[in-house]
Amino acid sequence: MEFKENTPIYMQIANRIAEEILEGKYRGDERVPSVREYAARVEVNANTTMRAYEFLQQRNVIYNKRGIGYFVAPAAADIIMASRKKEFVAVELKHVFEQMRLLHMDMKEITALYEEYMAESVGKQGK
Amino acid sequence: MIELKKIDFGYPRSGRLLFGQLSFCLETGGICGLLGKNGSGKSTLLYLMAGLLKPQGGQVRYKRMDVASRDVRVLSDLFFLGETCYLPSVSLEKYVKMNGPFYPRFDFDRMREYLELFEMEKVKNIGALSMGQKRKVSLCFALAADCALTIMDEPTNGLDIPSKRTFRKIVAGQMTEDKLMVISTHQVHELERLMDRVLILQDGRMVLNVTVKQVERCLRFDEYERPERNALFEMPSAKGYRGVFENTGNEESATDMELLFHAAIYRPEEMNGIFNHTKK
Repeated sequence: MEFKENTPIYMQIANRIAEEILEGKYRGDERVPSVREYAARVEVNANTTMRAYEFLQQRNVIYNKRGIGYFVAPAAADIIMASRKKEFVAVELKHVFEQMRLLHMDMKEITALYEEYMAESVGKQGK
Repeated sequence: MIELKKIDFGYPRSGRLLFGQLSFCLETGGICGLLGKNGSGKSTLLYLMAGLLKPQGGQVRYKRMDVASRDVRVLSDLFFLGETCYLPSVSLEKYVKMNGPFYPRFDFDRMREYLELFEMEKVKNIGALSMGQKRKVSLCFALAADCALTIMDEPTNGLDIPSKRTFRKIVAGQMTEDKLMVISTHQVHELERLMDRVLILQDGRMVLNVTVKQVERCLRFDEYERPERNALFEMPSAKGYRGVFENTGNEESATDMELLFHAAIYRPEEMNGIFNHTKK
């Protein structure tokens, strides 16, 4: 699952459903809305929406029960997280490393900033 | 599902053919967007497909019959909604009761549901409605008729902003594998996510007839800072330029119908070359 901006509509929909699964909107072995329901919700062609479902099914995020509908795979959240992590390392982290090289920033500087950030966000959560 | 075979058509007084030997075929199970500039022949093509105009040569076939024959089997399963919606001076209830039965699959419950979504359920005399309101009633009727082939010429013209959204929701939700919808529009962005096939008409020629899936596979849409020499078409944007390219990699990008339209109009041969090449 990629998380770029300029991605085809069916991928945008697949990402949207993945996001909803991570948020816990649909839990393991729970039914997700039908293709047509989802198509109407996001105002997108049902064939295009179907491609999003097929994409998620191929990656074992959802599974199909013939005649009943699509359900969230028990391991869906783990699969989505693993895929996001891979994407993050390949794209975003790579970009960060490139910028670090360009701006002559070393790991020490980054570690300090990271610790500062973590302290702040833990403080926020504590409130 | 619907097949146009070597259509020749010209308006009598124009002294020339608008369509010459135009042939194409559309399969069921989708929503087809027909795009073209003003005067490119969109409405005329839709009239021909609905049997409201007869070609001088060739035939339009739907359900293995000539649509121009106006056979009941064709007319009861084909809905045409033109650009101007004429409604008689009767009550909404009477209109539905009188006209619904012409369509075997007409769904009265759905008619009520759609009218409610458009906030038109309390309407009395439909002849006295504004243009936009008449369009809403006509759209509800067209969609409730549940025909296997529905043809709509500029269906969102004159609709207010919430109604455009309602229209998209209903159309997206009622699409099934046994139905085909052909929608013309010159408001590219309004309906771009609703179609899974794009037809682009220019001067009576079908310059492009492809699925959105093919477009995603064969073309790449991008935004960048400096002009790119190998763009099929590009135009200035806030960031710099937006452009469309042949997709040489495996990555897919979001389709920009406006760029696709311009590229098809200005570079038809190259565009078709790319689509044919990738098919092999």
